[in-house]
Amino acid sequence: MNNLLEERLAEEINRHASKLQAPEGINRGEVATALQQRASRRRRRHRTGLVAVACASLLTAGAGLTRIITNQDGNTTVVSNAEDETLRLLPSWTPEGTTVVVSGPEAFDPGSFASRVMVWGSTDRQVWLTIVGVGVGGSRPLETGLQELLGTSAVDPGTTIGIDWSVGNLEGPAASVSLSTTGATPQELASVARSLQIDPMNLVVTAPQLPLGLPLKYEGDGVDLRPAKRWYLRGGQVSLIAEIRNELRDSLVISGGPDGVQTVDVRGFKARLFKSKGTITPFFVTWSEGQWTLMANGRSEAEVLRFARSLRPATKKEWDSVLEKVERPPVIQRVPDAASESFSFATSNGEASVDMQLKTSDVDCVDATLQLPGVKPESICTPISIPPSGVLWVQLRTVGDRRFVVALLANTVDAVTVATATTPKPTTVSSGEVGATWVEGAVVKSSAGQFMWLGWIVAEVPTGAVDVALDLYESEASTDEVDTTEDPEAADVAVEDPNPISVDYPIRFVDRVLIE
Amino acid sequence: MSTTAAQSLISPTNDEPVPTPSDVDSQAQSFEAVYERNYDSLFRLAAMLVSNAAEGEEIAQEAFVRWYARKATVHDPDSYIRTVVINLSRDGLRRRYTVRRRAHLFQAEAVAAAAGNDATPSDPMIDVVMKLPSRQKAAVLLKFYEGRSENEIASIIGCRPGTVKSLVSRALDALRKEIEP
Repeated sequence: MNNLLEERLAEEINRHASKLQAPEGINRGEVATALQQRASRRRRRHRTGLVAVACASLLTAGAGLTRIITNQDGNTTVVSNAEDETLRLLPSWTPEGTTVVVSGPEAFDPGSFASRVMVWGSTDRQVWLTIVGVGVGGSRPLETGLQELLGTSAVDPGTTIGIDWSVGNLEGPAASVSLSTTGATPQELASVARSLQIDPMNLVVTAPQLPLGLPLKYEGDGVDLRPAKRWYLRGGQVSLIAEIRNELRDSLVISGGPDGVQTVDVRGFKARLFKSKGTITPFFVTWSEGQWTLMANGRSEAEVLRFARSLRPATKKEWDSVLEKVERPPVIQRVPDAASESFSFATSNGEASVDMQLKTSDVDCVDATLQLPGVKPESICTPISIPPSGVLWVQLRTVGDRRFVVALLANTVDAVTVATATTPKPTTVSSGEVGATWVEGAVVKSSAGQFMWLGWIVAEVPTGAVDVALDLYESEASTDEVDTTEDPEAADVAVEDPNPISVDYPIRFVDRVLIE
Repeated sequence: MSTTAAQSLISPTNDEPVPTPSDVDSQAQSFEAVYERNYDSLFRLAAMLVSNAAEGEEIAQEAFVRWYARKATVHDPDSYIRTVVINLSRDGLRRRYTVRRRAHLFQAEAVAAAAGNDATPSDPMIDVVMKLPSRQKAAVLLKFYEGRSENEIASIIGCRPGTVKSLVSRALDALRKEIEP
């Protein structure tokens, strides 16, 4: 009897299994290579704590089939299964070993690991997307993720959106993608995402520049904050989305949380980061279309949920405290004994200088003068409203037959990567190394008590297409053990995995400038 | 025939060394070989464990990546990747369960997405298998789909062979109750 049942069971299971087909049209060898490279990079990251150099993005107009593109030894290998496909996005600076998955506009799918897309920042001009986890294969469209997040597919068919598209690291646990729009809503961006056909070789990508701080519109008597409307745990990053009434979106007080926290006020992007003892960047708080997104790096799902549960409406006193801070325009002050406001540095054909003047006005902004040899001084005025990349301003400047990439940066910049058509393997330079001049900046402090670092990067770049990636590391990974004793769910999660991959990737932003 | 050419016919070993047993073993455990050997069955195993093909694909690929990261210390990659698949599948199901429990906080479409909406078992027997507790399901699939022995299953699941017997037996009981009047 048992044997009969077992035989029938085996038959049924095998019949059912035979109906499950892995996606066709993928070259197995290439996938194996891609996975291998992915594993190697991950292992390397684990070992060194560094994140590999930014990779390329490749989007094509195609039939939605998955394709693998690798770049080995500077040469590009394209594996395509659609003859009619137009491969349009293959930057010459694609680093060796880059694995990119391409699909068509109907199913923009960076890979089977990329099943979540989070809009984690938004102003009236820009939206930052994070595609969590990028790998190979798979068939889930980005659109699904976007719509899931944005909660609507309603797009005005007549909408015209000018976008600047900068592509971050499309390899690793999270890819940061920035869509810079003019007057577009996230809903419109969903439409854009569905029809992406972008050729970076013909794009000049501008660094995100945020408008000034969003106005505060506090009208209510509390925050309608529901904990954990949605949460994700993918690719080493935890995202939790809580909800807040729209009219209160510009300011929020959160109390409670891990490590005994903390009252934070959040105002647009400017205070998206808050810290807890011992670690850096445990959570991000950003706003997007009526939703606050808490993103945690190096934190367990259980911990984030615990944190979410601890969220509560702000008290009147806390709101007053926020109002007091926000309504008074912050004043930028020099920190005593900070670096000079004027910087000079030598280039191979002369002396250049950058004069940075920190302006006090009703808005936080910095005025700077860039003086390159032989070129008339250039004035730069930019608000100190720091985008996630930390790049306030970046431009290419030509001096005679030489070219320089000049960037005004905020916060921490750990490395500048300069790659050109002739050196497809990016060269990473940092302070004092040949190839770029690292100009120390000034530490400034706003009246709201925020410290920030402003500095310049000036990198001489060769002629031809140039890609400059500014790699900004918020922090090294948090390796803190998570206390799971309070949460039975967390304790449950902690068992048995023979190969736990710790969620310890540093938050990393890449801003990329491609100049033909 | 020149001397060199003659030598090359007689003694090709200078250019093509005879593979040693360790070379053969190393080739058998190369990423490509392990991938080629296991991917299909692993994908199906994962897809059946989570009742979702796309998620199964992710899990299968992730298992290879994880194995490769620890390749040097893993002596039996075939078993190891199956263990990872089972654990990842279990984690996925657990997340799905959590989502369902908090359904009132989620938008309907998100719940549907998390629920693995391509699970369409057409056979009552498969339906029962899919509803088995995760360890029982893993044991059943390893035994009846992959044809693994109890010792192998025990090693993959991380229990004793006796436990495997018990898991399979309980699964069969459940199955019997369900399909037999």
